[in-house]
Amino acid sequence: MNNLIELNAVTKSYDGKTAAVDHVTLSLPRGRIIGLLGPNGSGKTTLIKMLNGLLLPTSGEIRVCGMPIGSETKAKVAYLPDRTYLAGNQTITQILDFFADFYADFSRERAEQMLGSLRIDPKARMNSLSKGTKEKVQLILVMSRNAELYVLDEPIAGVDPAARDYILHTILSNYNPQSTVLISTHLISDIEQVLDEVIFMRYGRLVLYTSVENIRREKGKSVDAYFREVFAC
Amino acid sequence: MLGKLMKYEWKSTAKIVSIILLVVAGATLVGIVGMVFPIRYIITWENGASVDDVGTNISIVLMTMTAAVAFFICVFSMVGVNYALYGYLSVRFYKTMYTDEGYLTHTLPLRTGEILRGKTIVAVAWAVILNLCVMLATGILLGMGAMAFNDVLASVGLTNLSELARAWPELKEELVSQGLVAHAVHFVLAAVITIVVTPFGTLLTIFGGLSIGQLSRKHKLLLGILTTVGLFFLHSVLSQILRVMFTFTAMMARKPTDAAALTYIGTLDAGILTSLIMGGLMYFVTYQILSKKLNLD
Repeated sequence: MNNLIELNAVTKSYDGKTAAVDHVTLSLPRGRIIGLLGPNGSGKTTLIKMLNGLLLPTSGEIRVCGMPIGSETKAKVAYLPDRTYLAGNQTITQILDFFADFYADFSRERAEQMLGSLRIDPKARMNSLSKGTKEKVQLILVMSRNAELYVLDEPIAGVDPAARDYILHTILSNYNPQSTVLISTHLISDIEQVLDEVIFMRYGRLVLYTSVENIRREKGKSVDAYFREVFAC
Repeated sequence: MLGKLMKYEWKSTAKIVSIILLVVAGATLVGIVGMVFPIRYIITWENGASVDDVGTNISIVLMTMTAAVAFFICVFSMVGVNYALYGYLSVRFYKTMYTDEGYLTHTLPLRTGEILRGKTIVAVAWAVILNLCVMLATGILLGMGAMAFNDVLASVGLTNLSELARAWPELKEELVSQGLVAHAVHFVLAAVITIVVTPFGTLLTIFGGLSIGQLSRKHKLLLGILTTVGLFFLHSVLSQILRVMFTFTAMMARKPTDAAALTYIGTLDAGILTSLIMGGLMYFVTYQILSKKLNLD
């Protein structure tokens, strides 16, 4: 079985009436960079949280690396949430120690190298850093793991265009080709160049799952242009 | 992995808890300097002064005021540190489990049970350490106070040993008459178990209440706080019922002279059982919510 992620009729409803994710069935292979795209409220973040065990599906089944979500899958998934999840009073060095202790696939050397190239002081405390630098630190922590699945929720939303290029370069140069990177974002034009495949979601439902190449060939458009056409208000 | 989690939980909480422990040390020092020494001074002065001088001597008035202020500082500090510790541990539990920091906690390669056990063990350990420190501080203050009185007694030819020897038969008779000697082992054992079990019950009641609050869609924290208050009320009612049951059952079965001892022991036993019941139940509830109902916003 080569599929890294298997979703079978996955539904999530917060209030028992409206489904944030509605009967999504999907299989994602290894070795791809996949864009998870959709307008606000389309269910992207809900789906990502379920993949990481932060939300439990109302119905359906999720498997990562052939296993239901649990401590074994969490050891194989590197997750970058859309918020700062590190304690503000900790130094970056302390956080590196923490990641090195808990994640067997964490490369401290790689993290220190990336921190150096971005001129981020490892002795700095998280609460002394700007929002953009915090996001960079979190991305460095995630991309310093040799994970099987990287799940990045809005990795470039809060940083300047120059930093975006660095982040995309970091993603491309650090992920294992046998791994899959799932990126959720609104900034399609910025990341389109690195994507192999895209998933379109709307109202919690799967609209489209295809390769970037297919969209360009069959629709004669960029992913960004096609997205605007599909989701035109 | 549980060991690693406990190590980090311990390190993360050590700074604030150390400050709380320093407050205990500070209050003890205030007690010794501001309470014991002035009492000693006042007693020594009173032994050599006429009653008419009392109140007119400014130093005695100041000493009395100092002792009174120090007494209140000591009492409020010793009680306050417990609230401070439980408050801090509750906020930390909530923050690391159910707010943004929960994103890290719940994506660590740990089982739900390991996360809950790790946090509970460390929190209970700190509460036990604080209890022991407060007991030690109280012991030091009482000991120093006793020494102050002994010095005065010694100055008029009585030593503490002779006083104790003189008072012992009467004291022993009192202890035997209240059944405290016959039930000493049970009493001491129950007191020691209480030191560990009470924090377990209290902390898990708070953790459970905050976790039940997560079942609300919009007002998670408010429901959590209200549930915790409700659970403590339930805790109190259960404890009272068990206390009456234990005391009544024990008194029916034993000598009437044991009444006082059985009342103390019944209270301790009821407290232990209530803490175990509430702690165990809330551990189960918290575990179920984390395993089956986790919904981080």
